[in-house]
Amino acid sequence: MHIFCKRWIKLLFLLPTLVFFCVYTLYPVASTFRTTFQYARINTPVHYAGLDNFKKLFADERVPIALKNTAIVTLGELILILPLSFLLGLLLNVKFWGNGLVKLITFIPYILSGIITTLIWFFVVDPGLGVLNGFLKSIKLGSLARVWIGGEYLTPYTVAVIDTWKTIGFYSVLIMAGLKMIPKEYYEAATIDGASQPQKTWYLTIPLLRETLKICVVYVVIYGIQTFQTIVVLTAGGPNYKSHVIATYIYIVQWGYERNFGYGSVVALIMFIAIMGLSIGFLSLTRRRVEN
Amino acid sequence: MKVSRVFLYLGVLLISAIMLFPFLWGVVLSFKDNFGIFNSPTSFPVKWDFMKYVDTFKKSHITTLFKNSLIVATVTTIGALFINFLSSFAIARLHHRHEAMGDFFYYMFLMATAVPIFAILYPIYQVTMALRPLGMGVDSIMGLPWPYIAGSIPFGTLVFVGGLKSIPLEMEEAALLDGCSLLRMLFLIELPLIMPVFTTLTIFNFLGAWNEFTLASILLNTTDHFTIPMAASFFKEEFSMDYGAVMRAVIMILIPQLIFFYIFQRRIIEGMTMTGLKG
Repeated sequence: MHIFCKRWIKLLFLLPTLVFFCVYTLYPVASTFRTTFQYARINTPVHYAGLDNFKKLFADERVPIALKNTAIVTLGELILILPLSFLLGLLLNVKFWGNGLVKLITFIPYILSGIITTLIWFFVVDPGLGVLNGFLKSIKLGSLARVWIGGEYLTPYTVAVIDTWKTIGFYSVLIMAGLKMIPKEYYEAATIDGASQPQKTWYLTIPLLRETLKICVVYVVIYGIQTFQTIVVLTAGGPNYKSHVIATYIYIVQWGYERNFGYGSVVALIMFIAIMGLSIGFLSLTRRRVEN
Repeated sequence: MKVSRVFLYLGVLLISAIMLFPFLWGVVLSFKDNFGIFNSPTSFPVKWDFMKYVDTFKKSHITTLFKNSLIVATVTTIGALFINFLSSFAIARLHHRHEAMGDFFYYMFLMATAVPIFAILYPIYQVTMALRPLGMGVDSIMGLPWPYIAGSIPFGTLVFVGGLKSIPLEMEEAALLDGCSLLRMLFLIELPLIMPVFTTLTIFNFLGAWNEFTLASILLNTTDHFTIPMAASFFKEEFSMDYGAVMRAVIMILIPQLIFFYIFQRRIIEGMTMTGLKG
């Protein structure tokens, strides 16, 4: 077809997307790399800073804390989300009355604004006016009450639990889709061979679900590294920078009191490299899957 | 068999209770006053007074918030669908001689998912500053949709290209042979054929723009221009004298969204699964 061959038509169709891509993705990435070598603050002229921002990074003791908290949130989510969403997926895969409703309920938090749902969670986990500590005290288990947020070290763990609550519906739906792809004959054959239900789950379902579980792991890690909204609403990184994760720290350095864009870009570089590396790994992983 | 059913329903009830508890507790809190919230965190409200909702509605500017979010989400959705549809068509179809070129753009657009928004906040702020003379600058409702549209590119490309490639080529060839123009073919033949993909993307772009917080928080300054999540992040300070009002505002904001989700539940869940497994 002559019209398919015209290169200018193709370029014309690509042009709007390409413009948006260059202005809001390609240029910003390049610009961030440049900013890492600059003193860039609000209301002061930008000038070349050499490696000063990088030197600051290694001297900044808040960065290791933020990295540690990010790791806790990410690992905590992995430990919680994988088994729980697997169980929920198995459960929802069974036909029963009210199945659709339960699926709907577990999915609700995922489509709502994280800021708003965290605002509600604040009134659950806040040590003073939260219902969790209040409830523990009222059933004479006050000794179990903890400073769930804003204390010395518990905040990232609480955040991992809340983020699990937010996303579990999504992951269990992914797992359900994976379960539907397993041929029923496998289970029939296993039943004939005398396999029990736990055996079938362990030796059949989990190995056959490996690809889906891999995808879930990658998503959890990529989103875990970028966790932001829950912390911003609950503690905003406080007290005294103890509960920052990498995303909130970038945000506070760049848009908080300091407005230090150069240094913020250096911290952002860590996150950029981590996410880029993981994504490239993930892409090669899925491509191999398609080729097989 | 009977026993396992009992366990099944117990498990299901437990999960539903955990998932719903925060929302139900939010409703309970919305009827309490500050004295009750601070002094007896677990108590139920003294009086279920719905007039409180009317009162909070009048004090807060919820209608403005909805208007702002609606404008941003609508402009984003239309813009995102339009540019992604065109470029995806170019990638999926117009590549007989330049296959490598199509692949190049396809993977380039997809790689944008790997750029965390936190790494490019400052440059986006600068770009938006530069667009000020056009009325699309910082602290303007019309400044927000453009970066959002750019954010829709990887996902839109993935879904549209997948959908377009599933349409048989003969369909288009026949249309063109019959003298149909390229644009008419695009919008009158291709579009109806990929309607499911189109609706999925409409919902996703809309939801994405509706819930976005990070960019909104750096690009907006004035309360009158806030979108919903942006305003919600200030509720705690705004109503600091009255935490019940925070919950009332939150619930009034959530209800329309829940109705939206209820109507489009099948599309949303299916779309999430499909793209989750492909992406």
